[in-house]
Amino acid sequence: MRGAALGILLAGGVAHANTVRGSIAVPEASRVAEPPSGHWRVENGVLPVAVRAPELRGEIVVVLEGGARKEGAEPPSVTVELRGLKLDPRVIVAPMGATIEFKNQDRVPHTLYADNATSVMAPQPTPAGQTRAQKFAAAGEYRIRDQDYPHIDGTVVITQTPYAAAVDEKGNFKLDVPEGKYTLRVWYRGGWAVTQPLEVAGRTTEIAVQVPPQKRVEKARGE
Amino acid sequence: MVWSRLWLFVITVACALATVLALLAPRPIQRDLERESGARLERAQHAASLLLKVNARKWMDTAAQVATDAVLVEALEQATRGPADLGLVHKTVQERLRYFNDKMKVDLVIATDGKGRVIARAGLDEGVYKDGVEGFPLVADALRGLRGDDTWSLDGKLYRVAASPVIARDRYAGSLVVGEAVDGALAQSMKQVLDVDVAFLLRGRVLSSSSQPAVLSRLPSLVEAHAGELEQAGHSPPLAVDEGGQRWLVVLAPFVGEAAAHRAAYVLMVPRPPEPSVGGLVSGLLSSDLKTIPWVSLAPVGGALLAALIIGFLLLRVESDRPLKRLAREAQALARGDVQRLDDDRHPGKLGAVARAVNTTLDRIGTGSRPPTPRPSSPRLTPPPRHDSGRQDRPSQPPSPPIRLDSPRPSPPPVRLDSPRPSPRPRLDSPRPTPPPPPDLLREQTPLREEPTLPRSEEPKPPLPAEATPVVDASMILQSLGDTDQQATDLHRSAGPDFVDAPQLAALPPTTTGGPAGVGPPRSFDDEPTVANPAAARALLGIMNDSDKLTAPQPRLSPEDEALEAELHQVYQDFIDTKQRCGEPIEGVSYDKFVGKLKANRAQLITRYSCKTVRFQVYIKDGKAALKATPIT
Repeated sequence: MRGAALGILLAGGVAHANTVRGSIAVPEASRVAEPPSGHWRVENGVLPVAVRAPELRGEIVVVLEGGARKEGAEPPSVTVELRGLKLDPRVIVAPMGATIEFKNQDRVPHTLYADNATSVMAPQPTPAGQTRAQKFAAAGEYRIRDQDYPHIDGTVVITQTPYAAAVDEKGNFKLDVPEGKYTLRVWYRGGWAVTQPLEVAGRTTEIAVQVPPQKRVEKARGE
Repeated sequence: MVWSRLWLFVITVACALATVLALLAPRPIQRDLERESGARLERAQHAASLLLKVNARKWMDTAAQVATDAVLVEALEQATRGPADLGLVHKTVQERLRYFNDKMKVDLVIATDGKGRVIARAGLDEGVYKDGVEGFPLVADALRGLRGDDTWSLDGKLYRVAASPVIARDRYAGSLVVGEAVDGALAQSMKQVLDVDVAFLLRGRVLSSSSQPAVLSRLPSLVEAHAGELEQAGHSPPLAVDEGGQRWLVVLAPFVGEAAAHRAAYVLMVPRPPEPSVGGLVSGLLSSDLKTIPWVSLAPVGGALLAALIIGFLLLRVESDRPLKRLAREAQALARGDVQRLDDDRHPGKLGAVARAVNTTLDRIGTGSRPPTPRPSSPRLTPPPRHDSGRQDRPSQPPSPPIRLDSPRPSPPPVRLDSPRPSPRPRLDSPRPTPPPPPDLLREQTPLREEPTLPRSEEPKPPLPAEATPVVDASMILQSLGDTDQQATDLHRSAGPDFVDAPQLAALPPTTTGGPAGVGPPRSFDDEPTVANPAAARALLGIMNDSDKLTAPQPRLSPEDEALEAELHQVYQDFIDTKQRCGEPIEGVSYDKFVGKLKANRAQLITRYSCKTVRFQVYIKDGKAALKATPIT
């Protein structure tokens, strides 16, 4: 699964491919956990609370817009698992026309829908062990919710360009793209956190992106 | 009248204002009550949020206490470390969970290993395990070492849950979740604390409530309508809801936690104060406030009202009742003949106008075809002095001179004319009695005196004695005849109660009985007659006998006689009308006998008083028709 998530390298089979390697760093402030949904959230008083690195994998995707388009490439199919009452990964990136398969690995049915585009993805129960395939024809960001479990929250980012990838646990990514000038955009925590130009000229292009701490993220469509 | 009317107007305005105030006064009170109810609900909502928060902390501590159970810790640590016989671990954990479930009366207990995998459940889906629940933020936090609480919506039910990490020595071995169902028991317990009705809603339906008012059906739509407000402010303002004839005030508030996304909310409700109404106010006063009314403080108000009523009654009595009674007494005296005119100066306002109108009518009728004589400066003719009281209405005016038959020139005493003896059957040729005129017309036609047009002080003296009054009662003439003939006596007796002495006769000065031309003292004709002039009585009886000859041919009359006949006919009609008006029988009153008697009386009086003619007037005495003759010079 992890390999599948990291392997969302949508570009492939490109002549004169150049590799873009990069890493995404998020500010410490963004590592603060979400506020409690209930009244209380207190430490146990016996052991220190386990400090976990922010979930970069499955939370950040990188997109290179512009450059030459791939011709004749079939839209890929991306699988998202529902396990432990959560989406894995939470953020999925795919080109237009891609089919997202939601595989229910829980013991309870899930009724997923696109919160900001119910006409595209209407609420539909997916029994335990079943898979729901949903095709997204238009580019955009689709927020996926579950009618029965409000905490289940994910995002499907559909791009016009095939050059997009998700980062690993450390925030690293790799893209094979043709030479050219691109616009690099980083999706983090529900919005486009970084947008900057990127010129791919050499065989390998290294880039390090720092998500600004006070950067107000651009909300997804319909939010 | 002016003051009584003004007072009545003031009282009416005061009553109207009091009524308006009574109707409007409850409205500010109603607003205050509703405002107070709303504030009470807001305070209750604040208390409810605190109560739920404290209650969540209690459940969180309970979860932490259960999480320290050694058996649980050991089992969950094994499950986390794996590989282990998960079935055996499940049974072990589930037994402990059931134990705690029974002990703590919780509705939901879940134990997970360090990865968020369910090892055992109690209270809900007890047979299911090995599924992951780490997606719940509450469980994820517990696996990191945090305690917390949340609300979950599971299988259409709402649970308030709390989680605590399970700590095995130096590491986190799992999490333990306990939960309480949000149901009627919780609503009742909250109602006992908050003293308001409580209802719980989830996904657009009412889960449970402390009572079942009709307004419950409106709550889901209210939550939908105020969803944004609930999310922003945490509660709604007090909302007035009327449903099924019930009036309620409600405050909506969302549950804190994940289930808020499923529109999980609690609603606090109190009945609205009843609509203000006079009936409700009175019933409320009678039912609860009657014993606590501050009568002492209300006494001045009641005294003021009583004083206002007394003043109003006094004003009415002074301005209305007394003048009316005075006018009525004077009108009765006028009807009896005690006075000849109404004293219009004594009657204020419109009553004076009525008196003047009556006097004008008297003038017009009394003057006959003559134009009304202009009133002198002192036009009233005072009534003759009364023997019984000796009192005069206007002492300043000189009393009428008494009629004394023993004076050198005898004044004409009042003459009573006996009503005719009822005949067995009416004559065919006699004029048929006309129906009585309307009361108003009758009033204008009532007894009529000539004197108002003949003020003694200004008009030339007739051949009569200067001090003699021209008013003569026919009955007195009959008495003055001095006839002791039995026929005359029978005539008087036949008149019956019609000839009872009137107060007017009593008012006449006493005269010498049996004098040459004297008139006996006023008396009833029922008494032994003392007729002063028997010859006149015989003459009268002789005329009556002649009048019985109805079939005799009548000679042609002169114009004067025709006028006399017409006048006597009118007197007859007036007499018949008056008798009918008084409810007396008229069958025995024949026209010929009546007119014959009048003619005989007229001749006697003309001879006696040397007057030109005699005017006969019909009046009512003691409720019966009577006749009076007045010599006209």
